Parts: sequence; structure tokens; C-alpha cells
Amino acid sequence: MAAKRKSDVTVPAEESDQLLIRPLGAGQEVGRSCIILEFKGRKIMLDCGIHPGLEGMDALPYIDLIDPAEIDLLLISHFHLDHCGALPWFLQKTSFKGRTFMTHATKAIYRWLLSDYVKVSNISADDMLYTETDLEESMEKIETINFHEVKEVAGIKFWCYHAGHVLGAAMFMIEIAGVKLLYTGDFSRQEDRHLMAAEIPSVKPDILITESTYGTHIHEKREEREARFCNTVHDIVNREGRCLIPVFALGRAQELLLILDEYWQNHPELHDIPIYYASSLARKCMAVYQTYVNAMNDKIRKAINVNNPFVFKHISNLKSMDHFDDIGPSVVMASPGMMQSGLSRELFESWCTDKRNGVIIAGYCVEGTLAKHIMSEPEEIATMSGQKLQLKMSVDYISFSAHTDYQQTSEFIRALKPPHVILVHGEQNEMARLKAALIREYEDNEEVHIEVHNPRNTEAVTLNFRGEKLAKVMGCLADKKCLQGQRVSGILVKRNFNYHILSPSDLSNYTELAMGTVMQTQAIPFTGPISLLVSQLRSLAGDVEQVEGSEKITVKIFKSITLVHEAGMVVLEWVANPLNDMYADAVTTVILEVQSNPKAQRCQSPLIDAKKDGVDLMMFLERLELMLQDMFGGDCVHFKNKQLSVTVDGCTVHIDPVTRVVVFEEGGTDDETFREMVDVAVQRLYDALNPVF
Amino acid sequence: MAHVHYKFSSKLKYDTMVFDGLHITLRDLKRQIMDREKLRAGDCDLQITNAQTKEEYKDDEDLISKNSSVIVRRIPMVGVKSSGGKTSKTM
Repeated sequence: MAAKRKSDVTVPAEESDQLLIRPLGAGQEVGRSCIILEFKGRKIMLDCGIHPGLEGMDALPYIDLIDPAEIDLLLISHFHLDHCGALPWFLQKTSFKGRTFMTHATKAIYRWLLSDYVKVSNISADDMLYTETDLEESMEKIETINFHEVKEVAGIKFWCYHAGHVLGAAMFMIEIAGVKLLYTGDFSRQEDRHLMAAEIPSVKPDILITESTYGTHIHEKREEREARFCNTVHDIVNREGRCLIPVFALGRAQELLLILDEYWQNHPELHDIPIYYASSLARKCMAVYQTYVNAMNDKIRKAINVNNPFVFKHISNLKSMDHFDDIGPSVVMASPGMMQSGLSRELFESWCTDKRNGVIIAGYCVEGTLAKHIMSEPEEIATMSGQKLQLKMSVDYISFSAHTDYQQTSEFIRALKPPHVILVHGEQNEMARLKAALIREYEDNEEVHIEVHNPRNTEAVTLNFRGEKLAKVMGCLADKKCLQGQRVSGILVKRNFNYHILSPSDLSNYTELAMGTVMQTQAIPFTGPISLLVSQLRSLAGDVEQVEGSEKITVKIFKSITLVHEAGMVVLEWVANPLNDMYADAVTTVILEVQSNPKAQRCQSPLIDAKKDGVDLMMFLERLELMLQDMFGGDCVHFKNKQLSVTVDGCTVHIDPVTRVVVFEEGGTDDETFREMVDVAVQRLYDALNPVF
Repeated sequence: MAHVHYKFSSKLKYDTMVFDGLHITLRDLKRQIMDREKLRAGDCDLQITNAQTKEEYKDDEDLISKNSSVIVRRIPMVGVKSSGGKTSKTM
């Protein structure tokens, strides 16, 4: 696992380099896929499914660990229940207010598949997570996206590729601040009768989140699998049995129907034996399939022009058990796929005691479902009402579930070489084996370094991505070519993750921002004589100009503050910036002081008036002599040749009044402490007498 | 008749649990909520925090007084599969 960096409290999420991936479901398990991705303050949820082996609230992912209101974007990979089964609940019953996206075919099928699920669930209405009404209302909140279409939401760029697996299944590529992540959902790299194989993206992701359903298994060849399937069905009907194939109304069922129809076509001896596709929604479902041929492979798209292959010659629709005359051998495809309830369960219970009958499990079964249970060939099974029945019918497992196997996964990773791989959607042991196998593949590889993670539910994987920040210089700043080491200064404009540097005058050209100036005006009550105020200001600033041409007395101080004398007050005006604000403060202080005691200011120091450049030399000397006499005694201080000298304990120093340098006398003792003492005293006196300005 | 109001963190509304007495232990409250919401999975546990102080109730014998409001979070249990195990944080 990537090393966890201590969370830096002072770095805001937007600027942090930390990327977090946390599965709330499908972490070391299959079912209730729901993965949270957090980066640069954006939060994305990938899929929102339920666990087919659990019921009610138990079947939900661990949504309590996040705040639904903070999720910006929700992407659904495909219509299987374990990827979108919790979507109506999430959209209608939580505080989620972000945007939801899926492909067109996924949305159309989602509507009917979940409707079927709500109908066949045999738990009471109160325990259901959502109703048909919730499902209908959720439809308008879902937006659609085409394959390869790039969309941008809240600074997150995303697009999707074909994933195979089922109609409309997508692999989502997400880009935030230059970091790319590919979420495969469920995918297959093998083409089948109507679907294309998963595409290999042309853009290489930094992180790959992939399914690991089949771990290190290798699938049997497609022709072998199809032959085995058809032979098993043939054997069952030959021995006068009923063949039950539990599948969901939509999904792999269509592939099986295509296979069976072709097989029946080639075997005229079977034409008397009916094949039923049992689903109350069959007609609606087939209509959807006929609409979205664009999401299917080329072969079928060509066939559609000639003869619609989804119009079956040997398969009839069965709306419910009432329409079914159970006489003689037959093949029935009924939902749901894992036989938790509904028609497939009813038929199973009525047929399981006869050894002529057979059931073919054609898809992946999740732990906790009846389908998974019978694969271990138990002696008896429990019915929905709790009764025990002998299991005598044959059980075959021939998987058409179109998931990637070890060969396909390995090839996919080899083509993309993502530095980080996160495994989800696989049983704990399968996933661990896959992780070990992948690590083994790359451990001796010097050039390619891949880290594999397999987090449990609610466990986070933290990765760090330090992206390079690029700022584009535009406008007049870009007129001259820049040299390395040259300073560029301007305004940094950030839009999502794009940075530009502009000069203030260009702001209105490239952005909706405009430059403005702030003028400050201050009115101060003032009833004193204006001439006094002006002279005080002169001593403060020195730089006071009279502004000609105005009716009222106007002066400009420090070249930036305008002072106007109005009746009973003075009005200051200046352009707001830190320097001018400081000047204004100083001017205001002077005004307030003059206002509070105009008389006290009358007598001005003649020293300051007379000599603007500094202290009068004679006066300085006089005062210096007085001070030194006070410090060292009257007879230690002598004045000759325009220089003062001080003698203590045989050591003499000379002070030059102009430069104020203190030096030892030639030939005498050098007492450094004494010299310093005198030096400091001279400097201090000079500073005290010297006016600030 | 004493009440404790509880809300799952992801849901929008509060529900009420009724019991007798002035307090209810954390263990009893968890069991009652799990019964009411039909949470039967062996590996599911609840994290209960006080809605006002945000403090988590950790010990099974901790008492929650009547009329309090609590936030409930479903969390996966690590290790012990049987019900009634101690709460453990997995994050």
C-alpha cells in the first residue's frame, strides 16, 4: 500500500497532492460496487449498487461514511444491479445533489431492469429500499453521455470507452488537474455475438481501478463454452426434462437467446421443443435492445440491416406462470439470475425434485444466493416458504458472464502500464491471488513499476501526485520573448486547473474581471486657522503644494493626499493603497492635534525654522561640551582647534564635530570602552537634536 | 416511556426508539436499531455518536440518556463475525 502521508492541516484540499480512493462496497467482495475518489477538493462516486445476496439496508454500500451532499459527480458504469441497484435510493432518499452520468443504453435499461427487481423482490413493501415511484422520479436526475464524448463538471474532465460485458457498459476515464484515472467497471476483452470487446484507451492512466471477479482463472474458449452449453440443453430435453436457465431479463440473456436460436435453427429435431423467455418486461426490453444497436459490434449492426437477429424464430415470450402449460420438455429462461425470488425460483422449486430436469447457471453467482449454494451440490434446498426439498435435478455451471480473465487482465495492464492498480469487485481470495500474480509479473522488471492495492470496504488508499503547475503568459506581457531567470510579474488568474499570467490592463480582454480604483474620502471637523494647519503640515511633510485654480484652499501633501478647506471642516481625498493610507493617517493626526489645541503650536523652535538641513554646528558643540562636562567632570573636557577632547585616566579622545568621529590621541593609552562610551554619547546627542525630517 | 432519536448519517430524517427507564445501554440500543432496520448481516456493526457533541460511544456498557439524539453509521466489522462484538474502527 502507498505510504500514508501525515495530513497537513494547513494545506487546503484544493491544493493538496493527496488522492484518496475508498471503496464503500466491492472492496474484497463482489456486489454493491461503490467507490469514492477524492482529489483536489473534488469528490466522485463510481457506481452505486446493491449486494444481491443481502436484503434491505444490509445490501447497501457503507454510504454512512461519507456525506452525500459533498459528492460532486456520480458515474454509473452499467445496468447490473450490483452497480446501479442502489441508485434510486441514493438519488431520492439522501442529501446527494451532484450530477449523475451514464450511457444512453444504460439509462434505458436501468429503468426496466430495476422495475423488474422491485416487482420480484419478495420482502414486504416497508422493507424495500425504494419503490417504483422513486425509480421513475430518479430518471430525470440522470444525465447521459455518449461513448468518447468529453464532459467537464466542476473542473473534472471525463469520458468513456466501450467495456463489452453488457450493452452500454462503459469504462470511465477521469482527469483532474492532469492526473488520469481509469475505472473499468465490469469489462471483457473478448468479443461475443452482439457486443464488442473492451477498448484499450489511447490515453494512459496514472491509476487503474479494475474488476477482479475471475482472479487468476482462465476462461475456456468461446466455441467450447457455447458447444458445452448447447449440448447440455440438448441432453436435458432429450431425456424429457425441463431446462431452467435463470437470468435477468436483460443482459447476458440476449446473448444466450442468440445462441439458442441459432442452435435450434440448425437442429430441426428440436423444433417441437419450446424455448420460453419469461419476463413481463420482455417486450419493452427487446425494444431497447433493438434501439441501441449503435452500442453493439459491427457484425450485428450489419445483420440488423438484413434481418433483425433479435426477432427470434424459435423463442416465445412468457408473461407469467399462468401462461405456462408445463407439459413435456422445454427450455425456460427466467429472472432473477441468482434465484433469490420470483419466477426462476418458483420454477426451480417445482422442478428440482425430478432428476430428468436440469438447471444451467449461466452467470456469476454471489455468495449468499441460492444459485451459488446449489453449485456445491447439496442434498436438499430450502424453499421460499421454508420447506425442505430434495435436490435431484442436474446442476451445470457454464459462465457467460463476460468478465475478464487472467489473460485478458494481464494483457490490458501490459498495454496501459499504470503505475498504480486498485483491485475491486472480487472475492477476497481470488483478489489476493490476482494481486500476487500481477506483482510477480512485474517484480523483475526494471523499467516498469506497478503498485497493486486491494483495499477492504471503507479502507482508503492514499496516493500522492505532485503535478507540475503550468502558467501561460498572455497579452502584452507575452510580447517580448522571456529568458531563463528573468522575472515576470503580473496577475495570476486561475480557472479550474488552468493558470494564466496577465498584466492588469489585459484583464478585461481575457477574463470577465476588470480593474477598478478605490478613492478614499475623509471629512474631519476643523475650525482652526487654515494657515496654521498648512505650516504644521509643512513641517510634517515638507512636500506641500498649493493647488492653483480652485475656489477653496486646496493643498496636495506627499503628492498624493488632497486636502480641501470647507466650511467647518477639511476634506481629505486619496487613492487607496497601503502607502497613501499611511500618509493619510499621519495627516489626520496633525489635523486633529491642531484642532484640539491651536495655541500650543504657535511657538516654533527657531532651530527647526532656521536650519532645514540639520543641526546648527555651534549649538551642537556648545551642548556637546556641556554634556561631556556633566559626564566626566569639568576639567576633563578641552576645546581646541575646533575639536573637543576628553581626557580620563591618561587616555585622551578627540571628537570631530562635523563628522562626529571619535579617535584616540596619538601616543596615549587606548581604552576602547572609554572611546565607545564617548562615541555613543555623541551620536545620541546628535540624533536627539536632529529633526526627523 | 423514554425516547432516543436516531438518524443514519446518510439519511435525511430522524427516527425514534422507545424504551423504559432513564438510560439505555449502547449494546441494547444497537441491537434494537438493528432489529428495527432489519440489519442481519453478520459482518455489519453500528457506530453511534452523540448528535450534539459528536462524541462516539465506545463501550458496550455506555449509557445513553433519554431524549438524546444520536447519529448512526453502518460500518463493516473487522475480525469477529458473531453479533455483539465490540465496535472497531476500520478506517
